[in-house]
Amino acid sequence: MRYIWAWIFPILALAAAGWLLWSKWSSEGPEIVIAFDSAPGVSAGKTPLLYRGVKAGEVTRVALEPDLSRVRVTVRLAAFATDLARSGSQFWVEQPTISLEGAVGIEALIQGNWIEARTMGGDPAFAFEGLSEQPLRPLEEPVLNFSLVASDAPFLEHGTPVVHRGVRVGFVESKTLADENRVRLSIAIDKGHSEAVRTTSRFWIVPAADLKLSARGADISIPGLQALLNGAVAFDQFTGHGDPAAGGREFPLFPTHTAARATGEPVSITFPTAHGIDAGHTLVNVLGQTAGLVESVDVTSGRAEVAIRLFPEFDGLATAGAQFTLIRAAISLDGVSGLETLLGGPFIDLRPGPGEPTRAFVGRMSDDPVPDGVITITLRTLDAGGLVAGSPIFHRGLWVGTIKEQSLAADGSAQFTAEIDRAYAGVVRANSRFWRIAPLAAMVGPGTLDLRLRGLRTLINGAVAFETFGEPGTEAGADSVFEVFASEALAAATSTPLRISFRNGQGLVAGLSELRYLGLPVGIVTAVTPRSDGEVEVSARLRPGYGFLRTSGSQFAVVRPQISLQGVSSLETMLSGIYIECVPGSGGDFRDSFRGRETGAPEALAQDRFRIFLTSPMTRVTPGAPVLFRDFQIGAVLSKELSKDGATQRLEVGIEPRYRSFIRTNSVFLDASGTVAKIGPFRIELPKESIVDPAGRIALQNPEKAGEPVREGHEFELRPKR
Amino acid sequence: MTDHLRLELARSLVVTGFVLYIPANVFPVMTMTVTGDVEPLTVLGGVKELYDSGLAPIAAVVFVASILIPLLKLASLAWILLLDGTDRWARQRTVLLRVLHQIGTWSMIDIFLLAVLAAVGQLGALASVRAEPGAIFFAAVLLSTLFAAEFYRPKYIWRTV
Amino acid sequence: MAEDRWLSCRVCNAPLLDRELRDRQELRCGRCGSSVRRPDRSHLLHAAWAVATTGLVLCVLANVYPILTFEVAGDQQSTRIISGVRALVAQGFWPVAALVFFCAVLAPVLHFASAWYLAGSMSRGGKWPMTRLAQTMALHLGPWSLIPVFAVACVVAVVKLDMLGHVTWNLGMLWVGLLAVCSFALSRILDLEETEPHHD
Repeated sequence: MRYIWAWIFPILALAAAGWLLWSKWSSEGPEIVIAFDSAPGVSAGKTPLLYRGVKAGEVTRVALEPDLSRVRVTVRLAAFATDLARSGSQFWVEQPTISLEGAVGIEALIQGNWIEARTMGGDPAFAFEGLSEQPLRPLEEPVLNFSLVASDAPFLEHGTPVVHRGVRVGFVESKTLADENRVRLSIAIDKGHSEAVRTTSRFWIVPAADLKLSARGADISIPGLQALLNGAVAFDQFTGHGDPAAGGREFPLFPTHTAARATGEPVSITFPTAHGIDAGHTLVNVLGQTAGLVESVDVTSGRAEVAIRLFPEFDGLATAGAQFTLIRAAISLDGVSGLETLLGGPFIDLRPGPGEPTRAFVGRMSDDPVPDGVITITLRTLDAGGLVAGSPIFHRGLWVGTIKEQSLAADGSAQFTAEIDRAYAGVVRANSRFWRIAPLAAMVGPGTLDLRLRGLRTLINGAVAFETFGEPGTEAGADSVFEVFASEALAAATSTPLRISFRNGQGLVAGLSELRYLGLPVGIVTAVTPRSDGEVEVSARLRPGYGFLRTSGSQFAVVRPQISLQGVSSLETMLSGIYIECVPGSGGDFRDSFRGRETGAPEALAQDRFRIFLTSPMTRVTPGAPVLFRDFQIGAVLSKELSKDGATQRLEVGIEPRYRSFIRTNSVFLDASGTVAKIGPFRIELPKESIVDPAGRIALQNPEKAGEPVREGHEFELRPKR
Repeated sequence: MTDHLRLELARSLVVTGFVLYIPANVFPVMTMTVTGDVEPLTVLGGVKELYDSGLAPIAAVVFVASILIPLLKLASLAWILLLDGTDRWARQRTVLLRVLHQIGTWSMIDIFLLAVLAAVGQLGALASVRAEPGAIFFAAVLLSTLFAAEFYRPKYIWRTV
Repeated sequence: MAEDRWLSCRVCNAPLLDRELRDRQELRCGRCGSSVRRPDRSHLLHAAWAVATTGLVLCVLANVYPILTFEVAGDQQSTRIISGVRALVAQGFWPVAALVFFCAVLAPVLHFASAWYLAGSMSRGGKWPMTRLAQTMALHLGPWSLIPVFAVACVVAVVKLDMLGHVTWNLGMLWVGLLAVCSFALSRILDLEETEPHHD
């Protein structure tokens, strides 16, 4: 055998194969069999067994028990993991989950399930019972166990965190039925936090997301990402610090933080009805602050026996004389009361009393009458105008009373008994004037359109308002009698009547048409009566304080809307109706009778104007047209009439006295009215002036060498526009 | 290199081939992990997988190239070497040896397959292909049969004639 | 042929009478069946040279272009011949990697290069230096040039990967296929065996 070395190859091959076999064999530990109730995703040859994250074996066989009751998973352990084959070992199927506490990478997600193991030592064993769910943490970490008992524990599951003042100190281990209607939660508290649980600790459920609706809006508080999924159990102590609780102790589990906080002695309140009271939810408020919670409601006795518990810091408020009022939302025509209860639900308002602590009270309802008392007055009117019992009485927008009864007086007028709150009794004076508020009151004036709605009930029934005009008189006592006027204007117009005669009374309505001075309502037309001489006599009353409008020389003119080709003037009268414009006179004595003017332009009413006349064969200028000097208004056209021979038109022009020196004998007046409209084939041309001055305009021009000043009544020629 | 040495090497390599053939087929050649599915594949397992997927022709090619050819080659070489020195079936042995030369290299299919799969199997957990020790044994089988056939020259069959 | 010419089989030394060979015929030993003489193919040397040149170019292309792209769940990986070698080295299987590199890269390139040199030299009367070395290289590297096997392996790989994800051919596969055709054609055209009969 010269070439014996050639046989090195098979020997090397044998060695390599042997080494490989041996290394494989030596890396294998014993085979164990684990019985699972179910083994999702476990398959032979693929599913690994992990121990502390290290692959410690592999599933070699998956089989069902002969009776199909369980799954038998055979696992070949790695050699280094031989010690996992001990009686104290636990095995469970781990499924990769997306949890917010520990995000699992995509690798784990697609790697599939695995079998996880942990061991507590023990004797060698090769057959195991698999756990049905993952134990929360390795057994070697000591924990303290407590049990919590609740009537209901939704969404609290195995693994739900237990938090103490925001710190996670443990978790829920299991949830079982304690007895027929209670749930028992077993919780495990880390040994490091065992001092946190005191004998005085109160446990409550933190819901997954806490939605609070309050007057400030909706408030969603999410206690944490983990809690978002399945809530949490929280605990704290509210009464004293207590001693550290020993393991195994049983605590009640309250459904809410408020319930857990309400540790005071039970207080019993009797209400006529339990409507709106929700045991466990209805709060007890003191000055708007939550002070306790309704624990239970018992209606077996025919009345609602409500048991409440106050927070420990409010426990002393349940004293004799304390008032417990059930506040509920009331939506009526007057509006909404107890609006906050719409969001937070009805609550019990606690007003502490001065007496000794006591434990039983009689509660009252929020709509019980306020025992503060009223004064009664009588209101009379010829036209009730929709007023009924229940109509409110306002004073300056405040609701101060209510009409209680209605009846018919002996003289046929409607009579109302009204109650004014005693608090407001002082504002009802002997000279107070009452008036009706129409169901829908609107005031329209020049440039304003004002709709005033005084509450829902007013909208339907109307209301009564009162005001004391002028000097307040003596306080009206109870049982005073007042007249109710049809409107505020009528009520306010307290003066003796004015008589104004007009040639044309068209559009003037008694009780509606106003007298205005500088745009403000100062009085009202009370009557319009035609006279035998063909004129119309208008009776009007002025409001207090406007007596100066009665001086001799005062002018009154009816203002009507004027719609002409030149445009629209006095547009506001379309909405507010025709009114009478007043200009005070300068006379020293007062009069009751006046002669009204027909023209509507208020400027025309000035008595002291410097008057001149313009004649023109034909002009479109109408009363009210301004007279301009260098584009500055110095006067206005007061009236327009035909000359006696009918050949010319004659315009009466009033020039403001301070500008009268501009009028000279050689002054030239031009008709500066614009063309009404040029309607070309493609455009419509509206001269600007015709919109600005619908009555037209007159321009004054003076030659360089001014002539002599003119006397009043001088007559000029109105020249056509160049 | 003397003829005697060549003969001796050929014998040794055939034995080596037989020795390596077992681990080459028992141990997985590669581990394929595709979307979490971990799959250690022996040569035969790879063939079976192809066949199970309904790709019988491809499975047949791989089976013949990767399993049958190496085995037949080893067997043929063993038979040729056993009859070395006798003159029985000399012509058939010569023809067989020539055929072995031509088809022997097709066993490399599995090794190349492993290389291509390993190249694309670099997508982390989505798809990863790892070679396993079986691949080395498999390659070693191929090399030893190739060299055994190379060392043993046809003319040795006829030297006693 | 005036005189009978006796040849002896290189394998079994059996004597046999030479005869005129028609195209595509070869002289086989009557005893062992080995090929003793093939028809002279020197007129195909230019063709062989052209094929070898093509093969060399294709070798470069096949190694430069990616062969196929594999896509799983939006993640994709394309591969070239050398990536397989690299992956195996990265996994510590360098013996396998070396084998693949040798059979799929080195041997084909050297084989085509030496065949190119040999064909070029012989078509000019064997005047180039080291023609002999080139012949030896071409002869011994030929069996190790496993591009056709590699091409088939690629097909199998594609079939296998198609079950697992999305596979796309790339241009490199075309070059590999053409290279396989080239190496097959070269083996048919270029006669590398020492078939020159030796006389008694």
